[in-house]
Amino acid sequence: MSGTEVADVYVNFDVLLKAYEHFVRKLPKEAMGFLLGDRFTYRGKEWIEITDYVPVEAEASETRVAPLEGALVEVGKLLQRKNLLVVGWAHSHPGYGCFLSNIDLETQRRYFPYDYQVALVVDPYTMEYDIFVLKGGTYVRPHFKEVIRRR
Amino acid sequence: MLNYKLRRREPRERPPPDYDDRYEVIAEYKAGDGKRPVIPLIFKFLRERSLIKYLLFALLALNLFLLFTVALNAWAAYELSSAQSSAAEILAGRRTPFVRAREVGFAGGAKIVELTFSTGIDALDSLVWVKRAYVRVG
Repeated sequence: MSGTEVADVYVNFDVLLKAYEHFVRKLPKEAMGFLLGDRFTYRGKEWIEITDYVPVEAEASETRVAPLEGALVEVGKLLQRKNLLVVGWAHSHPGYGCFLSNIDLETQRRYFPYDYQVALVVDPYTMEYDIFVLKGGTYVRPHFKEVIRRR
Repeated sequence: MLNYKLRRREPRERPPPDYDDRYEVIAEYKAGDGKRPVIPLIFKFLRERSLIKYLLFALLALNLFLLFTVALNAWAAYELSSAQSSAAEILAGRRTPFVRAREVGFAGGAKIVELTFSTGIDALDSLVWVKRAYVRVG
């Protein structure tokens, strides 16, 4: 395994599934949630693990979504209980692909400003998804891996 | 407004899931690699203990078995039809790996030769529907 390149992000399959199921339930509207996990280093390289997805009550239409204030309090309590970090957020783009709109970029800058925080975008109609991080005023896909926990 | 912003903590040293036996990496994506990530719902299906999953696996196994049998029979038919044109040589002792020949009688001055296809494995031979062909030699 010495040749294995450490990725920037490791996303658990269960997280993708949980987010996808939430987004499908909320169709045709957009929906959003927080990505929980932790950040680590390995041989000088920093990486994050996304281990949980928490749906957030949001004000949503078919083209935009924003969290309700009360919902964030609940997330805060959950974070303290699980001793996890918010490593990003996830939201759906029903039927219009995976990218970050200007509003999404603003949300990312405002609420998820740390360099380790990612944005997961899912199109529940096509089941496509992508992960982005902010870089130089725009967004890029980090090197990420999907992992599944053996049972 | 958001308390979690305050909980920025320094990263701890830990090997990533690539080095951890409890995890399996199922996909990898890099910037600009052109791959479009799709939520692999197949894993949900594979992890569920549903009856339909076992039925589908059984059906798949059955299909593979049938395909194999058809291919084996096609091969046997090809071998037997090829052997018919050289039945005399096979009868005279030319070695052929899968077809044996023996004289079973005479008809109008010609020998009747029985050609038998065999893989050498009884279990496989039992799957062949047409194992024998008869040909007139001479």
